[in-house]
Amino acid sequence: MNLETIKEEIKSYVLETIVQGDTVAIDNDTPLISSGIIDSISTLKMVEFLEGKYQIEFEPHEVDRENLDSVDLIAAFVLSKK
Amino acid sequence: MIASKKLLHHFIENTIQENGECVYIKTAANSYTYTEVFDLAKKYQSIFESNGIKKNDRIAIYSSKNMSSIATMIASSMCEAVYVPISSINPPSRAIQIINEATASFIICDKACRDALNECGRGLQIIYSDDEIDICIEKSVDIALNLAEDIAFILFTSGSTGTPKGVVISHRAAEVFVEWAAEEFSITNSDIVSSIAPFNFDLSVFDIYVTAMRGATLLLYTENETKNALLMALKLAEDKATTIYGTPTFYSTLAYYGKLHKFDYSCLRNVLFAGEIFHLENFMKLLEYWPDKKYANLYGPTETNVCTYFKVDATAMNFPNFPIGVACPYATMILLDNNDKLIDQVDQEGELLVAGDSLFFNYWKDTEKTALAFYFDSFNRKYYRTGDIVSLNKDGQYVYVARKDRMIKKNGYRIEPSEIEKIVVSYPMISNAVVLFSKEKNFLFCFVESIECIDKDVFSIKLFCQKYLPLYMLPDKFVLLNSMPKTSSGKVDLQALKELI
Repeated sequence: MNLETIKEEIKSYVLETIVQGDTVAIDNDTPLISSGIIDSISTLKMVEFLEGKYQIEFEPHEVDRENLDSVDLIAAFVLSKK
Repeated sequence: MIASKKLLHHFIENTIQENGECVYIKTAANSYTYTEVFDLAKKYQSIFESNGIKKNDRIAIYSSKNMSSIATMIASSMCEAVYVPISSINPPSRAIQIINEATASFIICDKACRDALNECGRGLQIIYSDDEIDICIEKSVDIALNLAEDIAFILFTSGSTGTPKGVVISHRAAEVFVEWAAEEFSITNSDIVSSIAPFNFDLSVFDIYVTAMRGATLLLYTENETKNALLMALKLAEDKATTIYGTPTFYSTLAYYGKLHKFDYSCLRNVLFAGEIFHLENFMKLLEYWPDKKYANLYGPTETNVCTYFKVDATAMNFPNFPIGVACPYATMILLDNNDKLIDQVDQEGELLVAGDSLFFNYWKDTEKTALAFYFDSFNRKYYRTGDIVSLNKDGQYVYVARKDRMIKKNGYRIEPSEIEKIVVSYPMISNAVVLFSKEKNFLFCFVESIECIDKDVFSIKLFCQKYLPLYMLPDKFVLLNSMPKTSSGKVDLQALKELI
């Protein structure tokens, strides 16, 4: 699986499902959780999406800013779980 | 010795007689016995006293949830001071607002919160430090206060004038609730109670003091832990929690995202909820995993703590939403219509007013707002106007209908739209802002009127708000308008805006 493809997929998920039309410019390193773009419930929704899409499973402590705060971080984390 | 009055730390003092070696507080890293916590509280008490603390002085606690913060609350009670819990989810600017408003003479901080205050230009004079907290002193504050009741703490909630509002709670008010709840939910020293709510939320009064009164164990979960449903699902099972008191949002999130099927919750007995409506659909989802628990809907604003309760039984499923139930033994209710006339007919809607020992003392330093909040009947009995529209059904259960004012409940948090609007309009080029809540989407909409066409990227407004508001108050969606729709009388047409959401 290609890192860049994963990044694009995650970015479009965040824009379409979470941000829902609020014109927010998201770069691959834009903070998502610490900036308030993604709240705690949306974070859990995203985890559910990632688990289904990439056939991975999060350990409870992995649902954390350190792994999920930007498109870059999420994609790297997803790849490390494969 | 004179028969002394009863203060909150006496719950712990009494428990120590027989259960001193039982675990009071369990965190991810450590366990602390009643004796250990009490000894630490005594140490803090002597630090406060040697620094000249007086009765009714305020101790602000701006920290992530930890054991030492609870010990300072106990110490506060020992000194007959008043503690002011400020959750670490508040940005430092809002914490400063609350600290200043409370004119606190001592400030308790964990390292992260102290650094945040420092960065905001609020330097602190530290008089004591340990692994978890710093105790800081404010030398400039020296106002002796005489109050008619023994005050235990002040809980700041969102205020309709745009700044946080302090709800002043007496020891007596907290105690009547604690004593009732301990009995009603049969808490004993073998119970393991989870602490989910932040300390500035009145749900924590149950967690800290019902546990202490009965010598039970408190599972102290931090703000970071509680928002991770996967982690909470695991911890509540591993820690063998017997009693949980949380918001419906907390439970719904657990049920939908926690993977509850993976764990064993056979120790769990009491599932208590408050703060907002538990929608039946979400409740049924939880029931799939936890079919045999005792469920109760507890109702009451911060100003009264819990004043009605409803034990969920088979009949509950007949309602679109659970009733808020019947009055707690210490509370008396009436319903009034718009002209303050008593409503005595079944199913007729009116504002709920509450009297009894659990009532708050006043709004901190706001006599005007305090006066408006109370109503006196012909026997001069004092009632609090909840602002909640409620009816009484034929079975004698109160049923929540709606809010009388603009107050919003989102994910169990109480939010006054004006507090958000005040921040948004302070952003350059914005002339007006109106916040509305969509229940269907669970979104806070913020309509923004801008004199000039501002940058279409509303992200910068959101980032700006984040400096002043906790994340749960941030609007989910901004809508830019050239001008607000107006009614014929020139006011903002809220109805027209509602149609846009």
